[in-house]
Amino acid sequence: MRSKKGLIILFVLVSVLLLSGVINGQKEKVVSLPFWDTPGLVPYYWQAQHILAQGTIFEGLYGYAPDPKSLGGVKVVPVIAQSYKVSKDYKVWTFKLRKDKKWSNGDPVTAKDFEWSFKYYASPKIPDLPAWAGPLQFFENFWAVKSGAVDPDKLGVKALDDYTLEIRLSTPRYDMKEWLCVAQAVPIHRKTVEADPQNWWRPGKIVVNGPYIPVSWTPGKDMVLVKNPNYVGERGNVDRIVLKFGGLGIQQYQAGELDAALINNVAEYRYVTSDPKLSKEFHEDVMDCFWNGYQWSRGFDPIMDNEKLRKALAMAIDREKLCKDVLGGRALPLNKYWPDGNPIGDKLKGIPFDVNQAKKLLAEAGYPNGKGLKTLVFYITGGGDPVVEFIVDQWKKNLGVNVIIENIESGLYWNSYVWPSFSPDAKAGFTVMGAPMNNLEIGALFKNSDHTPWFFDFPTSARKRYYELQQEQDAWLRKDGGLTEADWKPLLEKRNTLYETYKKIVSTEPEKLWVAELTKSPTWYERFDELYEKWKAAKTNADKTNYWRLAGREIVGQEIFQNWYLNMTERARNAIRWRYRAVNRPFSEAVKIVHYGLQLMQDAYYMVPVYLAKAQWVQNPKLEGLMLYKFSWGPGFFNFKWLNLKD
Amino acid sequence: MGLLKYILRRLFTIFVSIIVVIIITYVLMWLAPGDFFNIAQFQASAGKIATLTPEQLQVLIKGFEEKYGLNVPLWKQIWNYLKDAFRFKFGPSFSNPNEPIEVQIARRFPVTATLAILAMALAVVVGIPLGVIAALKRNTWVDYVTMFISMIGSIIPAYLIGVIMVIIFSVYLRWLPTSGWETPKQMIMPVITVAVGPMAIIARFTRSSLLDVLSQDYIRTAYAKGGTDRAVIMRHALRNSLLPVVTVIGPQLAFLFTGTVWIENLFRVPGLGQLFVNAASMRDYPLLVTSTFILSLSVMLMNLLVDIIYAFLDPRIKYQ
Repeated sequence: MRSKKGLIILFVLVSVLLLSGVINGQKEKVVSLPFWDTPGLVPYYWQAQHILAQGTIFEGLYGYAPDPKSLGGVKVVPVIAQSYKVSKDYKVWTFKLRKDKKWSNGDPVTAKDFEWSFKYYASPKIPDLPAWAGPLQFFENFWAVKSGAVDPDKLGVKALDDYTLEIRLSTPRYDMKEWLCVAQAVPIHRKTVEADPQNWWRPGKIVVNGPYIPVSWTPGKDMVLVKNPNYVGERGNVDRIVLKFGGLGIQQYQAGELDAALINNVAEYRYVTSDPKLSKEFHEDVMDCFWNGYQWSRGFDPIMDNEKLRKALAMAIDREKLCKDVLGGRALPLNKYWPDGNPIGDKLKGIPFDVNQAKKLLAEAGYPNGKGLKTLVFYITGGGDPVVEFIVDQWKKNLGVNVIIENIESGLYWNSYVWPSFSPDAKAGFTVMGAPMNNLEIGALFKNSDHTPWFFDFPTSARKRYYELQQEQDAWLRKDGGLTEADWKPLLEKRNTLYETYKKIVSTEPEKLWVAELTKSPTWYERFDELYEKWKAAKTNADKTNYWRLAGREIVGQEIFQNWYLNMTERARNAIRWRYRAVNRPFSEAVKIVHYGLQLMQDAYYMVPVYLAKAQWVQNPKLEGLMLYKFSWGPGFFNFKWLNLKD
Repeated sequence: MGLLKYILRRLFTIFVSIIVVIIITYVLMWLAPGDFFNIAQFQASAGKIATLTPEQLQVLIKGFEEKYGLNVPLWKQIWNYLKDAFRFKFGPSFSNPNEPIEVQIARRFPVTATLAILAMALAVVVGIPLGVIAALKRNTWVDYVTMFISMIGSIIPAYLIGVIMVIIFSVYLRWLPTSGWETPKQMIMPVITVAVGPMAIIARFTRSSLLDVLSQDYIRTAYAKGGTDRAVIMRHALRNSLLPVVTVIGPQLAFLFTGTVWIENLFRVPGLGQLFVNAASMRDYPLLVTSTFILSLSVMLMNLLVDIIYAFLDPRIKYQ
């Protein structure tokens, strides 16, 4: 009896398979694409950004759909989310989920999957979670959970029922939908993860909820994805995707081994555009989420305080010539943080190329024809930088300003010269700056130009003080003492004087949103007073020292803030105010006003845009829906959900 | 029994040398400007850390240090590393937090070893006869042509030779796939590309050392005893002239074992080179130390192997 049943089932299965083959009567549709070498498929690591959750193997509440006119070429669309409600203070977001979404093994995708996954990412089990790369950092109690002080169950996320998810934030966020598109915001499959926490993500084991399932992966070579039969939702018609790492893109494309290939240099670009066949398959787009240029070094030379000098240098670069002669037409001249033809860029005023005006400014700055100006240093890394050579040459030719190029080792360059708040070793001069957006979110619309009000736009003496205070704050972590009242005396005195100034700042600062943040409970002095009380009640010496150290850090933290706030230029303060206004409204609204802040940051000429790279590639004419990845790992292709191969 | 004792003694020396190498590596990293043992590289990639409060940053750094065992003093880190390394456990790397380095190495080493051994075999099979021919036809056009070719082989970067081959054989003639590492067809170009350099070196060494040997007294004696050209060269000259060649092959092979990164990238060969190359520039310290460990270990073992082969080639060599 039983065997008969089995036979019938088998018969039905086989006929269904045969029939489907007959009905389709078509070859498997296979697409091969170039890809970044990927260290693994664990979505919450920054290193996995590009195998993105957004549409390929995992998906979250929201995701990206192609939209050539929007920032980054993508628009945010609901994927698993159906609708949302948000509280008036933008701190509680409630999402209704679609009920038809499934994991690749057939399990339904529910709000509980999200709740469990987010709590898992936030837990100390993942000590090295790059929290800055995802939305969890804004969840209620996230930092306490991550540090192990609070149970992961206290994280601000909860499945109200199978298809309703509530997210509670510690501070208002208006761009939650944008943040929910990133890899760190996708759920993973609880049962598989718990069964093998080390290896659940390996192809063959992995259970996904996106349109494609990874079936094989050779690091350094390729990854194969096949269509997820359980996937519900819009998608293209490709059955199998082979992602290839490395190799000679254009030659692989010509040999018929790739359906698209990125153009990596001027030689390839000229070759492709002069070839009768390839030139028809050539595409290009602007990497508008970046800007490339230079920034002043983060050292402490007072020469940097000379605004006319900074402006003169920014105006004396022939960006058109750079793009034509040095970059071979693979870039656009850029004199503002966002290009024209873009909702933000259209409202920004660029830096003109005007040698006469620059000369005049330089003379007004006190260095007529570059006379009397010390030799500045342009730091670079790697094997020479033709763009920097061009800029330096322009300054010499147009203004008579001498700049020498100094090459340093790359790790040191990025970590100690380009990105830290300050680099005390840096001489007066410049480093290369190319600032991307990591993903769509309001803060990233400033493309790191907000480093200008944070670290640049106040007198060097105050910047130096800022740096010293930062060192002092770190030193408090290791200070011995705090066992007697006498140790507290200087702290208590400082608290009172700082408090007076703080009150003045709070009562005079015109931007209410900024004041709100400064007065948000617990304020610095409330935390300090609480630590003092805790200290009085403390039983052990270790506790006493610890409370005293934390209190000391609070005091220095307030000193850092006041040094910064009181010494920054009014322009920088205004830039910060505009930043507050931007991040406190929904994304689409923020886009409309963000240029006010950007303009103020740009007009300080500390971080100067010079050019914008183009992404160029060739692509199989039968292939549609290929999405360019324009964020910080780019250029490349991603979000293969939309791929479609015409017959 | 002398040989076994010798090998054991040498292995002990290797063990001690590796410990010294690792300690030096750690101290150098610690002395290097910038910070190896720190979250700075994530800051560099983030550029956003500025938006975190110092306390939040502390949480991140603490978690990061915990994962990579950086929360103990340097001497303890070195001790922990060595303890695990001799059991081939290296922990995760910064650039790949998903899996331990030994898993990555285990997956990639066979590929690199296959490529290295095939390329070396090709280099030997072609290089030695070339050298012999050049030596026997000394100062004729044959000699000049072979030596010119081998000079070109050592001057032109292997990468360029690879690219030229791809353009000819894959793009124009469509005989071979551009890249990959599964079928014998895919292996042809990478193996030739890797072999060119060592081939040139082996040919030159064979030539000069054969010339050296041919001028020795015992060769004259062999001819005097009525030996034919062929017998004299094969039996007497070649065997002795291969000694210096073996000396070259050992270290060359050791370096090939740690991967040839350009060629791996070019031909999409999933070997060790790709893994190790960025370690220093990315300041991926676990990977950097481990690549040093693997490279020194393979060079030392290769040298040991060369010394053992010596004994078979030259009975006069005694192990003490």
